[in-house]
Amino acid sequence: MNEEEFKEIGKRLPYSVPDGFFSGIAEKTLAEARKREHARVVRIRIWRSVVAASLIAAAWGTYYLLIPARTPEMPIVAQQIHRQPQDTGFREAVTPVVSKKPEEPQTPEPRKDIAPDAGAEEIGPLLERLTDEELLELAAMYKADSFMETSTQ
Amino acid sequence: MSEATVDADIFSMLNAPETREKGFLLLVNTYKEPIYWHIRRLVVSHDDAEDILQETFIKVYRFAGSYKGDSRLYTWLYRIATNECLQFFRQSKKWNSNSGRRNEMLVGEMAGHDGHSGDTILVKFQEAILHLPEKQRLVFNLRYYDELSYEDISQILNSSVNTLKTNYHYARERIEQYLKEHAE
Repeated sequence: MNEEEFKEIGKRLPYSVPDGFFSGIAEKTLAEARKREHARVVRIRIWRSVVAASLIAAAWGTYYLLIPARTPEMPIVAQQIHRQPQDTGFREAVTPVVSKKPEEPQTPEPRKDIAPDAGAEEIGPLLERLTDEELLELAAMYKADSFMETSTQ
Repeated sequence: MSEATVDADIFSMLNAPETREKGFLLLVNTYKEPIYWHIRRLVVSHDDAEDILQETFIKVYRFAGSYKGDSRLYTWLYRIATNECLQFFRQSKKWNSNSGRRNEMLVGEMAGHDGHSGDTILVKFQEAILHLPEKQRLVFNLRYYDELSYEDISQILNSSVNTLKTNYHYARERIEQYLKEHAE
């Protein structure tokens, strides 16, 4: 077979199509395209809603996981701030957090029906009895003691 | 009205939301027959060709906004239709086999199809085409039946013009050889 015989065959095909197949195909395809486009838009909207809901749930989850862990520490911080009146900058910054000044521990009044403890001694008279040298020595010990320093901070 | 004018009209209508559907109808009515026959030559069965034709135009409807007019409209359509056919072969369990086996199945599909004419030489000619490797078959069909230029085919198949010329040359040789061997 040569090129001339190819030309003899031409463009003919051994296939046929049902009668009227090509008529109305455009409208049918457009209707199907509209339907699928609508379904696609609905799918995208649902997907966006699911993503938004997941993000909100994740944000709430994170909030509830982190916030309760901090809550017990807050009164401690408040008390520490209260004990350091000289640190004014920090205290001013956090003052709104401290809603209520912690109550000073009240010393109960000595009961009159019970006799005072004979063994218990006030510190004032004790210090009065110390000599100047002993007082200086006591002050030096106080300064040198690292545990005493940290406990007051 | 020339082909270029029709394409320009379709393109401008597709890009305006208010005339999009009118442009789509014009596009389908202009190109439904050549695209259908291109698909039919590749997949043989009318039912499959009808489904693929619809999928092709639905893709066109969906991605009409992404067509920038940098290639000819019909090369864009042929490209979508060709990709749909290749995807059909890959995704279908029936057709997803090696190319030699698939070619035999396509020949069998043609022989068993009620819609084909009884002209023996036409059937032999199609058998010869269906026995070609996929790329050669595509190039031969687009060049021989659709009379597209090699430049247009290179845009459709994403291949160089020289490669396409070589493919077409080998395809012709193989078809001639097949017809000689199967001459009655």
